[in-house]
Amino acid sequence: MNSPWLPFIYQYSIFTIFFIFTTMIAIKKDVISLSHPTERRILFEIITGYLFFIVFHASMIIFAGV
Amino acid sequence: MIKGTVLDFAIIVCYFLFILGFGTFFGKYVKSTKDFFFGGQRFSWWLIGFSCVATTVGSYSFIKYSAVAYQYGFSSTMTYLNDWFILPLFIFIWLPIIYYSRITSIPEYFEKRFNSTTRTISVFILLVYLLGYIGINLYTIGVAFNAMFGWDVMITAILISFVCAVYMHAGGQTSVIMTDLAQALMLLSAGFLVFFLGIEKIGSISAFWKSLPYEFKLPFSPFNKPPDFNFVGIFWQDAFGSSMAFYFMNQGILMRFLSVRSPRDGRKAMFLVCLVLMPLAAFAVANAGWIGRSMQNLGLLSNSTDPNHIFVDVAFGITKPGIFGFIMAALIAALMSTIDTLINGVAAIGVNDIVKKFVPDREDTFYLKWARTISLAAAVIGVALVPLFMQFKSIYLAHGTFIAAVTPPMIVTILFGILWKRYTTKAAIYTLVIGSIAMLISIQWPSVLTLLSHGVAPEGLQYLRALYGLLVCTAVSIVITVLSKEKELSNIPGLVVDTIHEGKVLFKGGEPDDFDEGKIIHCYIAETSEGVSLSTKMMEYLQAKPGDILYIADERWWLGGLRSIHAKAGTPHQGVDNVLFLGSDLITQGNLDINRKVTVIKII
Repeated sequence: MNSPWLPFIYQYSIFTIFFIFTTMIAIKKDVISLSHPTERRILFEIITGYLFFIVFHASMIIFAGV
Repeated sequence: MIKGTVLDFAIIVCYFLFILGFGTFFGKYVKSTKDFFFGGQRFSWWLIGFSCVATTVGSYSFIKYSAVAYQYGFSSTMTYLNDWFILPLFIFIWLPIIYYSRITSIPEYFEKRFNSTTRTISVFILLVYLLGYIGINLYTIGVAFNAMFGWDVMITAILISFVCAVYMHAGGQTSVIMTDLAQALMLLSAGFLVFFLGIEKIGSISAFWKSLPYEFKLPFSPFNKPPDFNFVGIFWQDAFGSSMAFYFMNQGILMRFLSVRSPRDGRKAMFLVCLVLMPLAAFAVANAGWIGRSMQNLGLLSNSTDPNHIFVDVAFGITKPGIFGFIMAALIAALMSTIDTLINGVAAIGVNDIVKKFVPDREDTFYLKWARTISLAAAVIGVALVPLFMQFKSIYLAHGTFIAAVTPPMIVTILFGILWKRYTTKAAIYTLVIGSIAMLISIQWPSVLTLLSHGVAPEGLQYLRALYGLLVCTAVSIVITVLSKEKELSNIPGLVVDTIHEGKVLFKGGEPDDFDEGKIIHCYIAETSEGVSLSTKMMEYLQAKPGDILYIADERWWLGGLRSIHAKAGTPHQGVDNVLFLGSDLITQGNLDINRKVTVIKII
C-alpha cells in the first residue's frame, strides 16, 4: 500500500506553491497593503486558515490508526 | 421495490409547493435586469455563503459522494475540504476585478480584456458547461426517484425543471438566493439527521468507529489506485480543476458574488464557505456511505447493496415514515438550488452576450422578458440532455468526464488574463481553440494521457484529463504570448491585477478609499426629493466624504440586505444627527420602509 502521507505531501506541495505565488502577486502589485492593519489581519486569517486545513488533514491521518 | 409511504410522498409534494410559493414571492423585488441577474447587489455575506454551498451541493453530490464514501471511506471528503488554497487569488484579485469592473458575465470580461472573438468562443464553451451541468443534475435526481418510487427518469427531470423554471421566471437571482438559504439549511440538516439516526441504529459512535478499517478512515485515497478513485486523478480533476472552474468560470457563482453588497462582504462569504459550510456539506453528503459501510460490517445491511443506491437505502433503513420524506425532499432541495443558479447563469449569458449583441439599446423591460424566456428554454434544454448522460456507466464518471473535458481552456485563459498583463488576445484565442481541440483528442485517443499517468492503471486515466488540459493550455498561452504583441495597460483598466486600482477609480468615479472601513451607523430616514444626505457627525463616524458610495439597508439583519440600496453620499446636512435624508426614488428602489431605522455603511 502507498504511504498515507504521500497524497498529503503531493496536495499540500502544489497548493502551497499556488497559495504563496498568488499571495506574493497580490502583495507585489499593491492589491493588499501590508502597512494597513485591516489588510494585515485578513492576510493573517487566510494563512491561519490554510495552516488549519494542513493540521486537520494531518490529524485525520494520525487518528485513523487510533 | 418502491420505498416510502404516502406520508413521505405528501411531504415531498408539500416541499415542492413551499419552494414554488417562496421563490415566486420574491418576484416583487425584481424591477430590472440588474435585479433579475444580480439581485440589485444588495445581499449580506452570510446569505451569499449559504447560497454558494446550496449551489455546490447538487443532488448528484448526495448520490455520488455517498457511493464513494461507502466504497472508499472518509477520503470521499477530499474534494470538499481543500478550497482554501484558492482564497488569496479569489478575494485579493478576482473579486475586486469582477466587482469593480461591473462585468455581468465571463464572456463580457473576455471581450473587455481581449476582443469580441474570445467572447464568442467563451459563450459557446460556457453554455455547453452550464447546460450540461443542468442535464447531469436532472439525470441524477431522475435516478434517485427511479430507485425510490419507480418513476421514469425523464418524467422526474421534467417535473423538477418545471418547478425551478417557474420560480426562476418570476424572481430571478433574488428568488435563487432566498430559496437557496432555505434549501441549504434543509440539505445540511437532513445530512446530519442521517448521521445521528445511523449512529442510533448502530448503537454508539464508538461502535461505528471500531467497525471501520484503518484504510477507510484516511482522509485521502491511495495515491494511484484504485483506477476509479485514485488520489492523484481526483486531485487534478475535482480538487483543482473543478474547484477552479466553480469559483472562476461558473456564471452562477460569479453572479452570486456580484450580488453581494460589497467586496468586503464577498470576502466574508468566501471565508464562511471554505472554512465552515463546505466541511459541513462534505459531512452531510457523504456520511450515509460511512454509516452504510459500518452497518454492513455489523451485519445490519445487505452485502449486495449497490453503491449508487446507498444513500436512499441507508436513509430508508434508518428512518421512520415522514422522516424519509423529509430527507428525500432535501435531495430535491440540493438539486433545485443548483439548477436554479445554472438556469439564471444561462439567462445572464443569453441576454448579455447574445440578445444585447444582436438587439442593442432597447428598454430594460425588453431584456427582462428575454431573461425570463431564456430561463424557461434552459430548463427545456437541460431535460433534453438527460438521455446523453444516461449512457455513462456511473454518475461519478459522467460528471467528471464532462467537467474535465470542458473547463481547462477557460480556466487557464481566465487565470492568465487576470494575472499576466503581458498575456495577449492572440494567446487567449489560441488557448481556447487549441485547448478545446486537445481535450477532444484526449477523449478520442485516451492514450495521450499515458505520459501523465502517475502510475494510474489505464482504465483510470480519464481522471488525469484535467491535468493534461491545464498543461496543454498553459504551454499554448505562454508560447503564443511570447510570440505576439501585448495590449496597452491603459486599455484594460480594472481587468488585470496590475490595474485593479484603476478599476476602483472607474467604479466610484473618483479616488477610492476602501481601507478605512469606518463605523456602522443606525438612523431614521426622512424622505426628500433626491440624493443622500447625512449629518456631518455621521459622515465622520463613517469616515466618508461626499461622493463616497454608501450602502443603506433595513436595520433587520435577518433580511440579509433584501431591502437595501447603494447610493453616493451627498453634501452633509446640518440637522439632527440620527436622520438620513434619502430621495424618494432611492427609497422605492431599495424597498425601504421609512418607518423603520436603517443601517449605513461606507463601501468605497
